[in-house]
Amino acid sequence: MTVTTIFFQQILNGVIQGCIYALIALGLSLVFGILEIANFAHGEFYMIGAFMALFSITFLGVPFFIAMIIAMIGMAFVATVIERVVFRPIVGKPLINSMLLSFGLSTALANLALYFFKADPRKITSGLASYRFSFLGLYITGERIAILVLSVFLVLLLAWFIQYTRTGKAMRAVAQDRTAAQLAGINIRRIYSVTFAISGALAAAAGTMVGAMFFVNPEMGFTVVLKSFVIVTLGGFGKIKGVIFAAILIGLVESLGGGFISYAYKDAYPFLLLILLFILKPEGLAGGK
Amino acid sequence: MTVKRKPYILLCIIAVLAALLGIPRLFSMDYYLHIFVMSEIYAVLALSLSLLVGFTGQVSMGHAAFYGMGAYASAILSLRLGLSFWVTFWMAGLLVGTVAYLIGRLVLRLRGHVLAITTAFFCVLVTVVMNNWIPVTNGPMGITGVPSPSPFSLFGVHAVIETRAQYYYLGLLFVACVVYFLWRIESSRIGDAMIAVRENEELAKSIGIDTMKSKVLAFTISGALAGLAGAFYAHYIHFISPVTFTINESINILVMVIFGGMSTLFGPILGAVCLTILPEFLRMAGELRLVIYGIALIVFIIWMPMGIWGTIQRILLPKGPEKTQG
Amino acid sequence: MRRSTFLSAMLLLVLLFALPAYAELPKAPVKIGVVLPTSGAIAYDGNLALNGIKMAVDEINKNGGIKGNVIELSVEDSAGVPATAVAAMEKLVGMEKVVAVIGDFGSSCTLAMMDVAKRAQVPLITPVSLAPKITESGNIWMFRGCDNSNMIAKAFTKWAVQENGADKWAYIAINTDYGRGSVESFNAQLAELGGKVVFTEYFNQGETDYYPIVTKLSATDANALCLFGETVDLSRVIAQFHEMGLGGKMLIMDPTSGTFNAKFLELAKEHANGIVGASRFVATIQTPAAQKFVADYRGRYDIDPEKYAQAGYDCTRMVSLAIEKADSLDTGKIRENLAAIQYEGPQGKAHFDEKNQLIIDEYIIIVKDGKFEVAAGPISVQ
Repeated sequence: MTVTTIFFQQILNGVIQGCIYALIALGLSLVFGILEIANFAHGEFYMIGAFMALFSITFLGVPFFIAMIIAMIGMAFVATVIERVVFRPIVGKPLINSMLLSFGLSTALANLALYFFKADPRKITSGLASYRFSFLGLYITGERIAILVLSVFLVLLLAWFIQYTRTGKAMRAVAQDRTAAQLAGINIRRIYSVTFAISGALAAAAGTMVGAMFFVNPEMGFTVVLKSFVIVTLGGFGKIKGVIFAAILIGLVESLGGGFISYAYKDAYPFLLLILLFILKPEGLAGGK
Repeated sequence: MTVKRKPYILLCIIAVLAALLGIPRLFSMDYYLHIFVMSEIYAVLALSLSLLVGFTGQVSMGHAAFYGMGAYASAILSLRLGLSFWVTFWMAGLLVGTVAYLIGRLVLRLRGHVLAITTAFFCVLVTVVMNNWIPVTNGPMGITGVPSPSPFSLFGVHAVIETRAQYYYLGLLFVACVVYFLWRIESSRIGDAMIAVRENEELAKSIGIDTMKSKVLAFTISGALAGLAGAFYAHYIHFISPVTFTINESINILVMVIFGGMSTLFGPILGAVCLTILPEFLRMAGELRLVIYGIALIVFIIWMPMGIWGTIQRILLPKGPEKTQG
Repeated sequence: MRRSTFLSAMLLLVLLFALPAYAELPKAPVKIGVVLPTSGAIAYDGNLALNGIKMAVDEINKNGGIKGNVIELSVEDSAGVPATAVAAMEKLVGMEKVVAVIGDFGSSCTLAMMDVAKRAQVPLITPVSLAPKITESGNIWMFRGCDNSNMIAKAFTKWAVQENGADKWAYIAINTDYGRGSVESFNAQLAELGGKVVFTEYFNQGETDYYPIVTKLSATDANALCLFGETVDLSRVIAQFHEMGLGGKMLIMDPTSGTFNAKFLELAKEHANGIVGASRFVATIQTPAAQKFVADYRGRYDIDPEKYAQAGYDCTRMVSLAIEKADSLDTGKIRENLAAIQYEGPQGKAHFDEKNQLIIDEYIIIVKDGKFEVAAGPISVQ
């Protein structure tokens, strides 16, 4: 492969990885923007969603796409319950409370999953990995194409929902000013539940895809959550476009940096990017990227 | 404080001191002493973090990075240059303090969750360097054979630091000094400035306080103290590797500070001791111990967000000034 | 909160401190301790070793124990954290009063625990840890109950270069002491045999996306890819290697047998075929002892044993044998007898050298049709 081909291959790799990051980060960003809660346990939503899809395929025998939908609905429901029981009491309290609370939740959920499901890594079979396409010297599998298409579809669906439906508009109102929204008659509690449900569903979708591309295991949530927080910070809380850009940017930075500089330092590149941006834009990244 | 209460406070302090000094007699098994020494190290870590988080209101998730840098600095200096712990201990503190100062200047212009994420990533960066800068840190293989503090003579008494009990006493001295040092800072004008920054940074600026200076000072001191704790750790366990200084550890220390009560001096110590002993105690619960730990944390945040000591203070000193959570 | 509630809370706290003192377990004839990561990132592999240990203990106890005395196993979790491993070790030697400890898995933990073994004068044997310092520190209480990178390098590199013409190596290794140390050992052997290294990259544990590394690899002229890592990580590397269309372009080698277990076959499916490596043990070694071990293990755990289970099993049996020969619970005598032991287990003959390093034979393994076939060996590595 020539250097140019490798370059474009790494870009392709980075974009696909970025799409998955985007799905996870969007849910996190919504919760952050609308409930002002930092949910460290978001990674566990992703993990539980993946397990739900895995068990749907193994025990119910449904095909991949149906399994993903089941996982999304299931996780949306679980997320709503968690919101009511665990997060509702601390809405409005300082940020650090939600950080530590969700950290405790994350530890509990991940280790509970470890206890029941054991540490065995498992694979979700999508049946699409065996299709390999090659164009212009670049390689991609059918599975990755499906993931790309699905992610784009879900993101567009989310954007349409936020922009054009009544609930979506209500969500935007709450994000802007909680008190004013309440005065305007919006049912805040319902909005909270819907937000969490959406974030859970998106995380589950991402989890299912990753479970197909890589693996499902109880520890998988912990590694993605920090990266997601960085993406949300870069992209802006509650801003969809910004988060998507940031996610793809991070995916690209990791891919290109890891491919051309050194793979061992891969985790450091997004941080260096962050520092660079803060130096260039010292007032912070409140706007979209 | 009225004149009547002073004798009681003094009596309490003496009683506590006597108890602390007598611990190696009561719990002579090395297993217990090891837990106590680790509690001391975590106490210093929690205390130093509380200066930054509890007092100055700046959330940092990078504390383990300074802890680790101190450990590596002291280990490398003592092994490569043959210097004694008593020298490398202070050198490590100075080195880490300088790094903390530089990072602080760069990063403390940020606030809230953005600051938290940036410090978190700083921690990750330091871990990556520890794992890959093989010629200096030996990467994941770690550094073995870190020597014990060399024997010394003081007032004609020859002292050695080898047994766990001896480390316990040294650690006790360490914690006591840190407590005294922080107490002096927190009751001084510098401390007042830090509280002002925590309560309302804009307001503090408007009355002429150099908020950046206060924040950077808190960050530097807290980092330097963490570095000292790291040096102590290195010469206690005699072996260090990057796995000990990850972001998980930063979060652990933060949890200790919150658990104990972060705007107080005693709270972080309580948090450190409890949360070092608790996981050991939960060994009996077997595989579910981390689940219990997580659930306990959730319950705790919902019902006792001011930490144990903070809540106790509220009961015993109902007329005291309201200390808000950072 | 009312005063009474507060006081009861304080009482509870005090009790929390005092309770461990009452946690003495009833005394049993022969107590052996185990420290392994049963939680955390390497819990899966840690539990494999534990399986082997438990099976050995049950076998021995069923046959009357050690000279009529039953073995009681005390298992503590290190979670892969050195300070926790030290605490676990202290608890075992101080409170449970074990006469020997088997552990740990990761070298960081084993290295931290070594000191405690020396101070408490209790033999410590690791079934898995590879760091050279473990046997190079002159600590007579520390034993390595498995092969080390140098031994494997000697056996395998010669076979790879001379019998397979694999002289341009690419490394993809995990960024831990195991990965880096192995690369070092193998580089030394490769240089001696006239081979060349054209590519070296490290990945962090738990990494999911290897596309960047594999893409970079495809630009080199390597004819052999040498992998160092564990089951999960390597199966991802292999899968993505094939997804990039590199299948068949180079010989895939896993000399330290991170992939020679049933789980990997399940995860990698047909991509596992053609992988060559060395291992001290696979389930297809055709000696009677090996096959009996495999049958017993399969009957108990429903899966084939691999090297961690075998190491756990052998370490336990060696310790028991040492206790039997010492004919006492004196840890000094047990240590002496362990150092001088002549043992024969499922994978062959074993004994310790003067640095307490286990000396065993290696086998060359190749994966054919989803099975591990012994291509050569046993090869002596002295």
